[in-house]
Formats: sequence, C-alpha cells, structure tokens
Amino acid sequence: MSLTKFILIICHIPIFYISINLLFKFSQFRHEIKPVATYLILTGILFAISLVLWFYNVNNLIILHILVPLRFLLLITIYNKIFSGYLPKWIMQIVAVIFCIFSIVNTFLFETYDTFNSSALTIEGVVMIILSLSTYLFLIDKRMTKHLKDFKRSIEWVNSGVFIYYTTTLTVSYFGKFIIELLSPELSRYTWMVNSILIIIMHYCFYIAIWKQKNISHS
Amino acid sequence: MEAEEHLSFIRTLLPFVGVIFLIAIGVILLTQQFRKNLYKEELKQVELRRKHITEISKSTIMGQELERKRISQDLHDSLGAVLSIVKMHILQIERKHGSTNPSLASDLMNIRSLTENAIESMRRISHELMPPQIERFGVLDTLEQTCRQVTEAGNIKCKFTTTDQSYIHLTEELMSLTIYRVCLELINNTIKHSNASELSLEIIGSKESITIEYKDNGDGIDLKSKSNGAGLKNMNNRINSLSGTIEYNNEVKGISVFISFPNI
Repeated sequence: MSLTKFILIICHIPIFYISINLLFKFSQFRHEIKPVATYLILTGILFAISLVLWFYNVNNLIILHILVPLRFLLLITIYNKIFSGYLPKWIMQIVAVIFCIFSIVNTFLFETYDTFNSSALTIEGVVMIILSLSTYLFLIDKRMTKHLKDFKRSIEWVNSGVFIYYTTTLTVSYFGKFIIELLSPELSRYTWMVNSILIIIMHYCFYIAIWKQKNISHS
Repeated sequence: MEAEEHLSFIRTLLPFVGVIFLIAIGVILLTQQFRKNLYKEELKQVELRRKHITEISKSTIMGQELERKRISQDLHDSLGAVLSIVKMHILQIERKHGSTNPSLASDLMNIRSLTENAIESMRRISHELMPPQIERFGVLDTLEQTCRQVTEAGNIKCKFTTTDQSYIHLTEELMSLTIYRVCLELINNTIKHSNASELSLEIIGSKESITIEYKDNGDGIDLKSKSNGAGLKNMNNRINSLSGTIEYNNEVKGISVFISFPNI
C-alpha cells in the first residue's frame, strides 16, 4: 500500500466516526443545526461507498456527481437560516434549484458520471465563497445577527469550514479535468490527498459547530 | 509553439480571473442587500418606537383629561352643592336676624359675598378643567362661543370659521379635547403676549384630515424663547399623540399656525 493510499484511508476514518456518532444523536439536535448534521452523515455514507468503489478499482466519480447537488442544497439551507430576514428566501431557493438542474443536466449531457464534474464544482465553489465571505461581513455587524442568538458561535465554525475548503479547492475544482488528464496518476493522487485533507478540516469545523451547539444546550 | 502554449494558458487562466471577479461582485451585491435590509429593519423599528411613544403620550393625555373631568365634576357636584347650601343658610340667617342686629347683618353679608366668590371661582375652575359645553354642544360650537367671548371682552376681534361640518367627525373625545385645548392655548398666547388686535381661527374638515389655521396680527412668536417652552411643548405633545403635525410661521405682522390631524 502506497503512502498516499494509506493517508487517504486514514483520512476517511474520522469522517466515518463522526457520521456514525451523529446518526445516533440526530434526534437530539436543534433544528438550526440539523442541516449541518445531515451533511456530515450524508458525506460519511457517500465517502464510504466511494472508498469501497475505489478499493475495487471501479470509477467512483459518480459519487461526486451525487454529492455536489446534495451538499449544495444542505449548505444553502444553512445559509438561508443565517441570512433570514436580510436576504429574500426566494433568491436562495432559485439559486439552489438552478444549480441542481444545472448539475443534473451537466451529469447527463456534458461531464458524464464517469468524468470529473469540474463545472458544477467550480460553480458550487464560487457560490459558497460568495456566501461565506458575505457571512463574515454579516457576522461583524451585531445588529444583523440578533436573530441568530446562540447559534452564532456554531455559524462561525460552519462558515470557516466552508471558507477554508472552498477557497483552497476552487483551484482544484477548476483545474480538476486538467489534473486528471495531464498529471501522472501519482501526482493526481497527491492533489486529491490535499483535497481530502481540506474536506476533513471542513468536517471538523462542522463537528465543532455541532459540539458548540450541544454545549450551549446543556449549559 | 510557444505562442500557442501561451494562448492556451491565457484561455485557461482568463475564465479563472472571471471566476474571482464573479466572487467579488457577488460579495459586494450580497453585502449591499444586507445593508438595504438592515436599513429597512431599522426604519421599521424607529417607526414602531415612535408609535409606542405616541401611544404612551396619548394614554397619558387621555388619563389627564379623565382626571380633569373627574375633578371638574367633583368640584361642581360636591363642593358646588355644599357652597350653595352654605349660601342658602346665610341668606336664611340674614332674613331672620339681619333686621334686628345690623352688625350681624353686615358680617353675614361679607360671608355671603365671600361664599359667592368661592362659588364663582369654583365654577370657573371647574369649567376650565372641563368645559361642559364640549359634551353638550361639541367642540366647534364651544370654540365659536369662546371666540365670541374674546371679541366681547373688547381688546381683540376674534373671527371663527369652519367649513363643511359633515367631514368633521369629532366623535373621539380625545380629538375634540385636543382641538379645544390647542386652540385655547393659541388664543391665550395671543391675548397674553402678542399685542394683537385681530385673530382668526379656521377649522377645515375633509375626508382625510382635520386642519386648523390660526392667525393673529400681533408681535409674532419667538420659538426659541424659554417662556414659550412649556405651552408649546404641551401643545406639540397633544398634537403628536394624535399623529398630527404643527407648523409655525412668523408673518410680517403676527403669526400663522397650521395644524393638521388625520381624520379617523
């Protein structure tokens, strides 16, 4: 087993642990935090399938095609809650619907399920960076965050996770197709290793957000 | 070959620059949207606060008016009745013993005179607190009568006019009292401070609003003067409590005041 392969497997263990842990405690969470927990559980399941396919040398890019629109919907739900009252809900809903339609059309017509869905990932990255940067500006102004109450601390962590992941992986998403086509498999794997580490950072940020919320509920 | 590579690089890089640009524009637009909504939200809160203050002011004034009415009625019914009985008894004693004892008659006459003064003062105070004509004849007739009394007093000629009365629904007691008190305050100010020889009061009713136009040909008013403070403040409070507006204009000779209330 190569080092990169080993790191990739090791990287997945915390994700699975978090998913299983959250699955059993899901009903205890407050409704504000449920989309974050759903996201972590869903990605855990999809990553497990992806890892199994990878072990059997089956193309697992289809998982990415499923993950991207679902992830987008869940993150949009979280941001919709954050911006509630300051951004009309229909804007976010339209953005979510358009993105899902685009993602599905892209999977069937342009970047099919066995190729890297670079366009969808790039667009997702762009939207998420816009939302996370705006959230930082939003959180600075105390007048606008009154409705968030004790959910604010969790939002800071969720938003940081999103910001760290999407800003650094935007390049990978944008040049994803070139990486697969042009780089050697080993170099390409290094790139995905970096990507996996960033996903884990985002997962940890999300998990801390849930943990903070739990602490607030108990105190 | 190198040029082609450069072109390919630029073709890949340029859309990426576009992506970054898109992010920047997106953040700016979203932030502007937040600011806009924050501004709207703040305006809404200011409006709510203003309404709350108006409501408090309205209920305070209403409370004052009710208290005045109660005191006025108590003065008139209790003290007035007692003083009338006292006066009656003095008259009876005067009739019985006045002819036999001139010194007692003189004392009784003094007491009767003092009692009559007390009755008169009591009646005046009671009427000032709550003029009975307002309930009986309405604010317009009461003001017309007040205007007539001012003219009859001789120094100032008071002219009262009102338009189509059907629009003036002064059903709300507080509205009637506010109009009465505000007009009375204006008239009193003219009499006391302005050296005017003429004043005019016009009340115009329409579907949407009730307006009062008041003018005199006196010395005008110094709005910054502290002596005007309390009276004007009271008047402003009363008008604000009914969501009304007031505008003072110093004319070449005298003052004109324009007051408007929404017609409820």
